[in-house]
Amino acid sequence: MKEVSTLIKEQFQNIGIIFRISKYEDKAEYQSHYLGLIWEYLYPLIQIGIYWLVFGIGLKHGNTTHGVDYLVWMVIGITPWFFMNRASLDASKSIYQRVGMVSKMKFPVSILPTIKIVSNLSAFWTMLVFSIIIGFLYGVTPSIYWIQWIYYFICMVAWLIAFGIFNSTISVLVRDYRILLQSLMRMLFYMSGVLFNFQTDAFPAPFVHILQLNPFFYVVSGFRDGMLGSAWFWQKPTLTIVFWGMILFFLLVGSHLHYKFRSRFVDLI
Amino acid sequence: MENDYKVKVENVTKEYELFKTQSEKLRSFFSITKKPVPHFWSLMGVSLTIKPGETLGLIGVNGSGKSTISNIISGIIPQTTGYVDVRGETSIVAIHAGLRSSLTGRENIRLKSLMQGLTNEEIDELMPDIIAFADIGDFVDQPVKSYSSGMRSRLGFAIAVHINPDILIIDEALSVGDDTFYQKCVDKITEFKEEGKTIIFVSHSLKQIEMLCDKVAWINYGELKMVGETKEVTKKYREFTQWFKKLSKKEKHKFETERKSVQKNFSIKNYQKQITEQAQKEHPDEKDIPAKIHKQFYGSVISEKMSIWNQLLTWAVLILVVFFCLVNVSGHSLQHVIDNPTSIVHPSHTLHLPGKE
Repeated sequence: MKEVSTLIKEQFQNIGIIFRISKYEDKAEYQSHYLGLIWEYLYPLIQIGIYWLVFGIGLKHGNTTHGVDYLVWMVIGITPWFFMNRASLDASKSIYQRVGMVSKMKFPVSILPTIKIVSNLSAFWTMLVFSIIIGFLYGVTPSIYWIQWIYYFICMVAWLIAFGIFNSTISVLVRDYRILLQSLMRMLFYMSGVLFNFQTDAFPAPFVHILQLNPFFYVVSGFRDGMLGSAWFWQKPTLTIVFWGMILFFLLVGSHLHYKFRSRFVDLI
Repeated sequence: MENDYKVKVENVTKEYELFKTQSEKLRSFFSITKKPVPHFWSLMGVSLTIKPGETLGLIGVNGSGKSTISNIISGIIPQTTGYVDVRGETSIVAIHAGLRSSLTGRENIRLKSLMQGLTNEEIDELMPDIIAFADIGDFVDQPVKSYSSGMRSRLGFAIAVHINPDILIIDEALSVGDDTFYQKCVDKITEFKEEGKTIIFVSHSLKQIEMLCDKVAWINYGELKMVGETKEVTKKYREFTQWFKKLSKKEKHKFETERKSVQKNFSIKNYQKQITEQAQKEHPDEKDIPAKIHKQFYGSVISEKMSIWNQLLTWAVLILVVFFCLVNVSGHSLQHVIDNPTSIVHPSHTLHLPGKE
């Protein structure tokens, strides 16, 4: 617990640094591109277009999505997914990338994954606004359920920090891990119910119940439940406990490994 | 004990594990290895206090632990055991100053200052001063990868001295600059001294040390050999290097191997015992000395081994998560599973969705 509390304390003590650096990195990353920051928004939009064409129009899955149009259903799910996918992958290589720079200065290394998470947030907000607009166009009206977004946003950030600190440490220790993680994320994309709804009678119930355990699914479906007003988060207590339990587990193991190997990050690369 | 200090280091040790192969490293990371990994103690119990406004020189031969101690003081690496108290912000200048080679000089200045906790407004204010001090001309808008090593160290030094640290640590950074820049640095260091700031100066060059330092600590193969007035220590150090130079190749090798084997076979338990006994001798009427010494050794470090409680907690969390996973997979409610424990292995085949009656 000492490690976990140190980790959380470091995040809060350096919150100013986190926001300033992530803002700076946002600017720096797209500096050499002609379209600059627009890419941050353009890239996800192009992808949404592709998935909509393939799965929405091409494969006609529109009837299994709680009675709303497929595009609305998909966009609100894919918004947190894009963010979590980018943030997880960026966070996993954050320490590896920066170790040369931070090794010669006093710098709380544990905030590096958090910086990556924060710098991906701007695209997330745009996508969220975009999903709301799409929702309005297809007749979704704001409801009390939207408040859940605050809860699921906290869930999402907590999960990304826990998962990020774990991944970033492991990928310093084991170089192959990053490739593994990339494949895992690609697989999870299809298993997190981002593109099609697996919570139907078309699949055997135990199979659905296994897929539900995925923390990414918890957040994706949570955002969807908020938008479409289909459920409150306390209506699935077991999944909520599993989700927070996983966060705690990754925090405990991740922070332990992080502090154990922090001083040796330089030698390990 | 005096309380008027800027940096206090007590009985600090630093241990490195010497892995031979990638798989050895991995095994230790999963802590499943039974085979002992060779250890090397870079520091074997060093105690130092630095008063405010003092300039302390650190000398010693290569690999004696000078950089280790300066890195521990600046907070870059943690000590293995011991107590370190630093009152104030530190800033370290090293030869490879941790600049990002794909960014330009100006961007590096901003990024490094941001990482040290400065705000954008403060950086805008400092930027002209830093650029003027580094004096690298038009190269400031070129990527750092095109810099010469002298330019890099000038930029690094310029950034480090301008973020206004209380404690400045200079780790052999002046050895690559030319005479003009060197003079500039010396002027800046003198200015710092006049402002009453504390400086730790790591160098091989006795000339530089003699010119700048009030006090010198001689670190010799992981131990503090001597600390005191600059003249005394440098005199002794000179005698040592001259003696060492005179040795034949074989004798030199033998001497170094001996010292290194001491560092390999150092036992932290014996050291703690020794310190405890010493303290007990000094204060025979105090009672809980062993506990106090233990606290001093391990109180301020995060242990490398997971504590028993943490291990238990982690396992408990894992078991709980697995249990609730199974509950979910079984498709029954928690109440149902508690009432009929066997139902956890008999998954229900109907799908209940929350909120959908």
